Amino acid sequence: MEFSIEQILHSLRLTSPLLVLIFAAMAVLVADVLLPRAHRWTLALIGMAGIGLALVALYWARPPQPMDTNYLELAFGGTIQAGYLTFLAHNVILATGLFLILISPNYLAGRAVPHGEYYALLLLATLAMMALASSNELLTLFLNIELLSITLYILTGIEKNNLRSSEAGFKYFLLGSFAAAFLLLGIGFVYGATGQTRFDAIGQAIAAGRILNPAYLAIGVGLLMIGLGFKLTLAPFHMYAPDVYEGAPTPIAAAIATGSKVGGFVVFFNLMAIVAGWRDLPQGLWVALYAIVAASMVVGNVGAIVQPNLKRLLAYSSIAHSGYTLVPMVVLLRRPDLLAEARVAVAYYLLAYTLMTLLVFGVATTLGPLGEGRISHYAGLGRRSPALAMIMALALVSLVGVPPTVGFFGKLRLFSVAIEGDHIRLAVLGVLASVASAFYYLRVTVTMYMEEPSPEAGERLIPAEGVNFVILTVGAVGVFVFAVFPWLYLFAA
Amino acid sequence: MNPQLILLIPVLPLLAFLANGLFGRWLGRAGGWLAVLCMGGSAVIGAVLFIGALGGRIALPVDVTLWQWLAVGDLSVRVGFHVDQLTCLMLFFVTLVSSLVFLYSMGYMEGDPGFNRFFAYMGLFDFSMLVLVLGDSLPVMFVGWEGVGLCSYLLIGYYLALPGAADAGKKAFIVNRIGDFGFLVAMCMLFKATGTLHIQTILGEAAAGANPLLRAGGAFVTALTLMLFLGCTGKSAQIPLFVWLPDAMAGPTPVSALIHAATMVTAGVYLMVRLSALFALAPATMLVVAIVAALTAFVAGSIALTQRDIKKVLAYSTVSQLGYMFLACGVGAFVAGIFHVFTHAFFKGLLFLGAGSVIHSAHHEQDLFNLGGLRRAMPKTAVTFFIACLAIAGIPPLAGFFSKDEILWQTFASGRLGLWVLGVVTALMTAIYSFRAYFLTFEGESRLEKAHGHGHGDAHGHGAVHESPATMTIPLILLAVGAVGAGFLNLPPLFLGGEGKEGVVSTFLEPVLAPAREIIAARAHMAAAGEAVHHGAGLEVGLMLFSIALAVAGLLLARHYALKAWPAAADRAAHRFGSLYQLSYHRWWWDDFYNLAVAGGLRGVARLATWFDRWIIDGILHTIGGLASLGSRALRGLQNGQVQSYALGFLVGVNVVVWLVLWF
Amino acid sequence: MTYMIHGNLILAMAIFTIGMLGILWKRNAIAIFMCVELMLNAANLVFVTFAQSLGQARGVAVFLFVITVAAAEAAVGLALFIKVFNDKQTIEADRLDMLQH
Repeated sequence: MEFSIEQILHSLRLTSPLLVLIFAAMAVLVADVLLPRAHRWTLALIGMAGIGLALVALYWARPPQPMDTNYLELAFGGTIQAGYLTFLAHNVILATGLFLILISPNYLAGRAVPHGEYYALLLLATLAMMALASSNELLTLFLNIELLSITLYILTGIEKNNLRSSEAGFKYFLLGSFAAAFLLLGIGFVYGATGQTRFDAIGQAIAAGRILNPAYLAIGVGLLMIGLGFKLTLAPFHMYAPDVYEGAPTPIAAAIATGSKVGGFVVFFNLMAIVAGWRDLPQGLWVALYAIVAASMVVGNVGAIVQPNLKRLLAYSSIAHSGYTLVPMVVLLRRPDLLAEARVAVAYYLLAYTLMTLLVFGVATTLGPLGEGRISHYAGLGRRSPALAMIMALALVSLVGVPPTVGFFGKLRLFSVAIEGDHIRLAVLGVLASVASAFYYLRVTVTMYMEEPSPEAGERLIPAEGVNFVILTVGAVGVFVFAVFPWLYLFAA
Repeated sequence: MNPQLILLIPVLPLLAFLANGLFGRWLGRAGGWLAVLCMGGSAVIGAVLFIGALGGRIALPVDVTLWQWLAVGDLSVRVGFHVDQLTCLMLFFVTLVSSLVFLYSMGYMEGDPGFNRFFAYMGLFDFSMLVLVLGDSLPVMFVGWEGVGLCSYLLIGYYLALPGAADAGKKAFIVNRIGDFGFLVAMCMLFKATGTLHIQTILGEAAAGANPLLRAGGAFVTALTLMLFLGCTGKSAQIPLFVWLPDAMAGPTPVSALIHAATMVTAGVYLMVRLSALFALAPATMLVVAIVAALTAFVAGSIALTQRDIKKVLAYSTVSQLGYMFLACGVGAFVAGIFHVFTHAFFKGLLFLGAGSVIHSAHHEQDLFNLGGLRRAMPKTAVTFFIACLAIAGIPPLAGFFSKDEILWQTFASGRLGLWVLGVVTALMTAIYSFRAYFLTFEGESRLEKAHGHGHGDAHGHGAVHESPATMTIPLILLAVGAVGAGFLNLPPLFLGGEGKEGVVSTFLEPVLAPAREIIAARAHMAAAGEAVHHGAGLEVGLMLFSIALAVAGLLLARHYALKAWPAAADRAAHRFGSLYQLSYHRWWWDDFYNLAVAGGLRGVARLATWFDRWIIDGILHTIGGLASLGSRALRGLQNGQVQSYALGFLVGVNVVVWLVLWF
Repeated sequence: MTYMIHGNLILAMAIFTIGMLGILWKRNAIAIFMCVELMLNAANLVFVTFAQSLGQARGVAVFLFVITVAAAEAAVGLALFIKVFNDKQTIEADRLDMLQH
């Protein structure tokens, strides 16, 4: 393998957003040391600048227009890939990072959180999410997952004097490393079965039939699904999610729910795309994935029904939505010819899901301590803060999947792939699950608009001002804009 | 004639509706005059049209297409009007009688707080009725059909404070709905058979005889026409859907006169005559129609004999006369049927308006047993009422004689002697109850003060009863003219010089009814040819004299029982014919039967359905919800906060996945 | 060769399983984490085994990377454990159940 200067420069260009973020994180740490009494917004601004630059870099390195959904380019010896799905995922992740950095200062005010470390780690987590989406190799995959996990472990437990935060970090750490072990074992078996670690090489080997031991490959893929399933909160590997979402600081819970999943979905999709090329694919893998997806949809929706805590409810919600997002991938295992449609559907749902979930978390963050606890604390929000309540209601309605929101069109695409791929029952299950979800999502809306505020909450009016409202409003507008103009995001299709 | 002018005919009453409906509060009494003017304008145009068409100066038919209404799949419906001879006739008397009733209402409804509301509804009614008559396709006609039903409901329940008025309106609407169902089913069947809902096209196909579904005597066309007849029984109050009409008397008398005597209730007859070619294809249906009609006429007539409320007498009389019209159609004498519609509008309208005049003067006293001797106080009303009675009884040369007698003759000539007997008996009863009403109201001693107590205040003068104002008596007089003269428009061939020489209206309507006639004739030819009985002129004259005699007998009987020997003779007769009297007085217990069987039955079904909904359907829902809740609680319980439990859950999952992968 | 590989893999799976059971069994958080490390090392053993059988250096390279990452993870984990201990005076897994249901 020769490395020419051109190749190195090309690779650097493709990964420039990642590099920018590394520097931004370091800049935050340095600034934190040099400016000890800095205003809480200073570090955030540096972080924002970093993400802004990363976005610029992303568009500097963007795929050629007109965008082809099968676009793929490799960097750094094939360990990093830049493709259509990855590009869209990077957009979403950077937007997520920006969103979280913007809502953090108000949240952190009054809490014992070390600001410098917080923002630096958030930037590194964003970096890790992007890198995870760009992974093209098994080891890279593992490293990125670990980077992501470790930063998130710290961020989860970062708040001092908060028992819940510590415990959440503790549980997240133990279970996360537990799952990582399974992931590693799976990687080992896949390596052993194909002799390759690069995704494209593995794909070629599988397609050509050069599999040294099909049993190992099957086990390996199964373990990969398990390991990644933890990150994606798929049932039955989801049990950490309610506790961790509840205990973590709300912006971090948002990051876990959205950004890290985006990266995970991309890599999961790429892996499934490769496995789909296996001509003698063992039925068992398809059955196992089908079972996982079905279980996620059921557990996610049923579990949320009696849940009184908002953040735990959102955890179950994210379980269900992971289930939905994986539906095209189940189809893909049986119908590799639907690759392009599946990719677009998943890409669109990344945006849809992230947007909706961030809006809900954003409102919860803006409400501070009030918004983190029981849903009953949201009573009367419709009167006390009509703007926040409306944004929340809109996000919830979109999560249910009611037209003409982005949530509806996202689910429409996902289930259309299922129907086209003869997975009618799966689509029906998805739709039924969505219908059931209306109960718990709209319960929050009912609480906001039709109940009297609790005595602790009081009748104070929450003023509609500040950065939080601006970004929340932008997000709310986006719910409709991206529904009507999907090509603004998808560039193609 | 300018088609625009024809369009004005329905548009003018619509204008009256809008003006009174939107601006009634500011128009006040002027709104009523506006309505009268609008209706009068329509009447003028209608008259010009009719006379012009009669004289041959206007070329018919005239078709006016306005716009595309429905374009769904294979169905294309345009809103348009078709004006032929039948239309002209209908337009003529509908607008004429309407304008007279409007004028009358200026007097009758004076001072009523809902004055403008009344005229708004009446304007809307006339608009709907005219659309019904003018419509060139069944959906357009149906719009008018429903519109008149709606206005009937609104106007029956016009007196908002009157208990029972709203119920009567509801009853009318609901019973009509059953008929409308028949109409709709028939429309669907027609669409299936011909692919169109344009009336003239349908009639053309019926006449051409090429359509397999419209085969003469076929099951499809029989079913279709029976459904249509169901609609007719609803709108035109025949058995079994006539029960709403007597209750509809709760509305103001002008409403009863216009809607429930002269126009709306004749819509069913109009429908039948308009689609006569279809009915001609189904002799079974025609027989059913004739039988039902004759029975209705008989039953209703028998009820009218004993009723005490003057409006109820007239209501049942209307049902009975409608029976005659359908009887005519049923035996194939469509012209006779339509002609009776025409004459009936005049004398029945007159009867109702006269009754209204009495009611208005006698401070809403409607019980015949409490009236009497009003001829002295209300001479104009009395005379016109008497003229109307002569007409309805069928005493020549008034209108009723020519139209009713023609029906009876045609029934006899068709060989249906049983129906003819019913018709004749009914004619006798008609005479009796009509003159009974007259004698009890206008002759004899006045029983009014006895009922109301003395002294209505000297301000009113002697006996508070006096003749009605000119706005009310002018229409009475004009209608009386019609009741007298209308008959001459269709003299039977007998008077015109023998076979072949038809009356004016018969000749006029010939082009419209020719297809039906031909179909019937063709069938008659196909039937045993030797059965063509030729009835001689002598027989016709004899029967004519017989019916005149019956009418006179009826008059004399009424005079005896209702005037000379009242109440003694009437009471004795009631005792003697005890059960028959009860049957008649209690209206053959028809309403009670419906209440018990139909309403009660439906209530039972409703109770069953409620039970089903509450226990089974809701039960299923609650079970599903309960299961979901249960599942959720179970899942929630699994999260016990212990890391190692979560790890265990994870491992269970791993186990399952690995086994799945390896097993399949 | 095949025999050797199978033997190694069986050993690796055995270690992996012992680690799994230890996680379920042990109460002390540090002990639990040690079992996690056991599992990771079992996976590493798998890598090395396959590297040898396939004659590639790649598997060993992976192994080195994984060790590094595991170390980093351990550092973070212990830091978290210390924080938890400071807050709750215990790191017994079954005592830490404030977040539940």
